[in-house]
Amino acid sequence: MTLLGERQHGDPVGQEAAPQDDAARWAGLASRVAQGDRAAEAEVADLFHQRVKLFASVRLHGSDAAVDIAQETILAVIEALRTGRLRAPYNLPGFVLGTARNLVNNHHRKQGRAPEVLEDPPDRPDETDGQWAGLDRERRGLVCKALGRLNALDRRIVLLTLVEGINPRDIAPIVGLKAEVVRTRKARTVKEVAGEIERATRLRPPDHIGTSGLKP
Amino acid sequence: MTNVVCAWIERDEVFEGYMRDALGPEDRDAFEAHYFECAACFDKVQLYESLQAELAVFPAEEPAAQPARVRPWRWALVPLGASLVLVAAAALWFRSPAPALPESTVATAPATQQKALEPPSGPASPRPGSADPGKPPASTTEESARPASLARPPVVALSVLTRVEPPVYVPAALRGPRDEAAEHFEAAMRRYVDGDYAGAIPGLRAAADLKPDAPQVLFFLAACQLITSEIDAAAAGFDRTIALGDSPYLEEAHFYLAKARLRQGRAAAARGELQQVINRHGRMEEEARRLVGQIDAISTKQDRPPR
Repeated sequence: MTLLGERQHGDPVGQEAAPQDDAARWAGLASRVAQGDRAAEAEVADLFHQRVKLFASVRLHGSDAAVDIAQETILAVIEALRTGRLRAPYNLPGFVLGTARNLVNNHHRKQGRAPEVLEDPPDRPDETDGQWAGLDRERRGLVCKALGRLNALDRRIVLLTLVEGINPRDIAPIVGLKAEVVRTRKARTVKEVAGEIERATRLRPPDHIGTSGLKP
Repeated sequence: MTNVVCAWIERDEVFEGYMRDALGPEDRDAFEAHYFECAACFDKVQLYESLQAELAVFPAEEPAAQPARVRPWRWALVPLGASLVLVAAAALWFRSPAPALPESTVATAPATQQKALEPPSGPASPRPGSADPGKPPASTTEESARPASLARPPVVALSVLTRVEPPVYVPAALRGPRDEAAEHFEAAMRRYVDGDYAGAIPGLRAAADLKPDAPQVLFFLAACQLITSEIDAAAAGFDRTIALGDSPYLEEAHFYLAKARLRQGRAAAARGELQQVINRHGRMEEEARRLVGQIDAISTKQDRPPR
């Protein structure tokens, strides 16, 4: 599993499959899970666990509950696929996202009513989560190294942007640059960090969309 | 796999807005639906998440991370530089009748609009540095305890209030037939996304003529007008957006109308719009509160803000 190598080999960055191709792929994957293909279930988890965790983390402002919600979502989706309850299998990502949204909303409701009751997620292999957690740690380690190599000013600009939430126009007087220069340096810095991570993980074979069995 | 260019991957402001939870609900939902399918965008969201997390802990490590690069004599210049900046700022503050907007990509308002922040019908504005016997004692006491150059809001504060960051536009993935207004709108918004706000206005006007009740058209037309300093037209456009009632643009319309009112020199009206934003308890509440605080801080020196 790669960190930044989820796209197919040979596909330029920023390009994605045509909607019809995607629809056929999702429908095929859903069908394989419905037929009891355990490898297809693992693919669903590989494809969507990290997405759901990131989504839940943003929606829950970094709460640890995001991990539980990711697990619950994947379990609910696989259960729905096994029993053929997915009415539009070509829209599998939409179904996963919808399930995750419902669980996040439920979490918000529970939080509003009473302190969170933590339950062990059912039927969840711990080692799989450990694998993703390892990837998260590795990515963060690479990002940390890349940040350490950055020019201090560039690092400050991305810090003010991403952590402090200040826009380039307001950063400009702080760092003594024009807003346009701040924008340019920020974009270049993010690309530099992305490039470093990509180079660090380039040698590993990607096993996400399109390369690990997600075929129409 | 066919090559369909991803319309989002270069939109850094969307990624940043998403990670800061600063996108509107519709934009956020659309972006989430997109990155659940787009590998490249998901990679980039993950990158931003890691960057945000690492940057949050990075500053404490910074001195230890680069010990070899530290040049003590350079640090010795910092107090000198800071003093020079303060002196220059103080000199500008006392000399300028109104603070100039710093250079930016956003068109600046005419000097007459920048000049005063108090309502036009109010008493004549004293120079920022002059004392006003009618001012509340609290701030006077607070200011008297600090050096003269620090006792007043920094020069940049006034210009920060009137600055406008273009509202984020996230293209919606629409299905079904598109009408002429939608085509005008989409073409105009492509220019908007490219930063060509003046160039987007004709298309948005054409769309507004065809669909005068479309909130997204009115809102972004007004936003472009505000950015290109058509302040009165912008204010009227935001007013019309608000008059349409509940829409995804209502909160932002109040916020940007406040900016337009500030450009018009109508601080009281701006404050009223910001209060509307605060009352909605939406994602712009915090920023609106900050702006109200800044307006009050400035107005305290010039006139009592409306409470």
